[in-house]
Amino acid sequence: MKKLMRIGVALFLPIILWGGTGDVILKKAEDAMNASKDRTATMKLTLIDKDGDSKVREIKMWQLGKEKRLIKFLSPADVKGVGFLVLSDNEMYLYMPAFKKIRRIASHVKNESFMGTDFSYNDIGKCQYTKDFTAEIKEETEEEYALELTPRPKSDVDYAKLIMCVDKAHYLPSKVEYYNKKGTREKIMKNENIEKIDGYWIPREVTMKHLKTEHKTVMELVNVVHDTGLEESMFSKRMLKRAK
Amino acid sequence: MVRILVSLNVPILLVLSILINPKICMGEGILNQVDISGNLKLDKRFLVTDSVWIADYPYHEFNLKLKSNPSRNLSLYSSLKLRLWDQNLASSSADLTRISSSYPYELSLWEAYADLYSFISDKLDLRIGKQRIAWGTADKLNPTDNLNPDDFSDPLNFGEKVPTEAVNATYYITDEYNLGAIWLPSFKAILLPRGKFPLFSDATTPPLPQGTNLTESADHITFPDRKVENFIYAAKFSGTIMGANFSLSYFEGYDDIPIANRLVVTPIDTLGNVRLDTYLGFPKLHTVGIDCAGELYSIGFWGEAAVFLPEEVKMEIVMPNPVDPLNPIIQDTTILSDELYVKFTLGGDYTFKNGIYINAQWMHGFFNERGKDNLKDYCLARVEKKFKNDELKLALTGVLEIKDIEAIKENYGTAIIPEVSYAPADNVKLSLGAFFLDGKPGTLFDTWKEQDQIYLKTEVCF
Repeated sequence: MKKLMRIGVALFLPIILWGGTGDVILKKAEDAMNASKDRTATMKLTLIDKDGDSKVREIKMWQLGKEKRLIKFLSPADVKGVGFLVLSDNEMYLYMPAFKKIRRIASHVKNESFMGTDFSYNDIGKCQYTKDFTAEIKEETEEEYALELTPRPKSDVDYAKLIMCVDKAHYLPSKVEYYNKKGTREKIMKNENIEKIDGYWIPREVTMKHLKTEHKTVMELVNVVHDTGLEESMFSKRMLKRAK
Repeated sequence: MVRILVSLNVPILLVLSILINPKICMGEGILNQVDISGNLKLDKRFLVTDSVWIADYPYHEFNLKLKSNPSRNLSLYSSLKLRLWDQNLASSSADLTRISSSYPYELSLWEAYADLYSFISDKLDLRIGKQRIAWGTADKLNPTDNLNPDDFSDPLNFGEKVPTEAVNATYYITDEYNLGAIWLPSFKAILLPRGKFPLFSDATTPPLPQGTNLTESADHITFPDRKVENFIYAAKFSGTIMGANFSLSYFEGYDDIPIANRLVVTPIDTLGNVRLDTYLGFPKLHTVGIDCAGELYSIGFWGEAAVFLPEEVKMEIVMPNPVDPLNPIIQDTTILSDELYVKFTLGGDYTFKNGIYINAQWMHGFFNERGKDNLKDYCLARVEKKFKNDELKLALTGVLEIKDIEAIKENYGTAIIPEVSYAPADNVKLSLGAFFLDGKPGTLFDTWKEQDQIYLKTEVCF
């Protein structure tokens, strides 16, 4: 009997640990992405089509903890002043200055393109993966883990799975591949030029590429500061209209 | 009171001064912080009836916006609007010496206000000056949005409003709940379209005595007196319950669309020709509103209703008396009862996985309809699909007007509005579209059916 138990443990423990380790790595990656208490950054988004033609958008982003984000468009003129507030995965608001109104973003919009970029509202708004995904290690090299992320039941995710490469040096994802419900690889996100700023590792450049349209968006972090003491009240509908 | 009114105009004067000479008013340092933006909108419409005509009510528009934040708790904003009509107003060779005869224009300080954040209390924000106060959660069809008068300069772009002078205070009880109080010292009326557009299907003409012929007419408008008792007030409480945003509101003011309260028919000769003088006023109005917006099974929804409590309006009709010309016939009739009526809009939207967006709304009571028995229903549906990373958009809007649902076959109108818009570069948008309008007699779209048109619009932002 004891022998049988030993065999059982020998067979299943690695599987349990393997699965559990994937979630642990994902948690570490998430913590690394949101290590600072708060972050303020100016970002340059370059939208590049398959012919190489490009358009540039500039945004300013404030982030508090893992969940709260406030984004304001600085340019071009036709989207200047547009604001985007994320209070949680389920509560996002858009402010359109032309209409002087704040509109709540329903979940059917969250997987749509964020203001013409290759990022969706969810990609821009979500700072957490563990809420929506469970992770398994598919591959491990000296430099990184390759995790397969599967949506948790009832999670509001439009992908069948994600393949995430996590760099062992700082636990930031170096690459994320997005697979649609048909199982086709749809988008690839790459975090590049990873640097330590104010003691936190962050990617200076994030590229999201749409494989079908060959359109990509390169997001460069121009000015980044951490732990400036942003207050909770900054992340409110009151400030969504006001922030600049 | 004079002091209050003067203080209300201070920000307007201040912002106007910045517009005129920012260097003098703000100094070089702050000038660098003045944010200048704007847009140019070009709009050409071709009426397609028995032949093709250029419509005379649309206009081109140039907007210049200035924004400055002199301090953390102060923000100034102003916008200048220049509208340019393609109308020929020249009737003599002397008129040809003026460019305004061929291109009449209007310049307006459209908005000019100061935002005072954390005013007196950390939780109180104040906006003083000429401003747009947008109420309601529905998509453009907002029965609770009564603070600013309607801008029907372009009647087919309904739902637009004209900013008005106001003091607008918002007290943030928490991040979730806030209470707004608004004071408008003066009443402003609707802006009507230039040129020939049959905006009101119920234009008042009394039945004339046999043998008379209407050859002249004029109307005369009386505004509410600019007195304390005629100030306009409104309040709104907003919050979030169970993930849905809601608000309750109250408005006490005036209907911005004038109503005829006296008609005088006067003989002008012995041949039976008569003149009609129509006297118009603005009925007092109270509304209680409620709106909400949220999400149900991934479908966005919104609902908005306003209970209108109008003042009764009686119309006096003065007609010539063929038997005794010195004693005209006078009739009194109630043209608007004081019975309450409700206007509402219910709607929802959804984006399918393939990117097709659908937006549907049911509206009871159009902007220019009033009175319990005069409200019609409108069912609107819009389908959109974007291509090429949002550069190209195809949209189709359909509107079904229902005058009487029990006899719908003879009481409906339709509007079909296809549109293609293309953004070839940042800050540039071109749109090509059409309005096809039709309806059974007595419907709104029946009165507009001569307005079938193709339009070409260009918008450039800077």
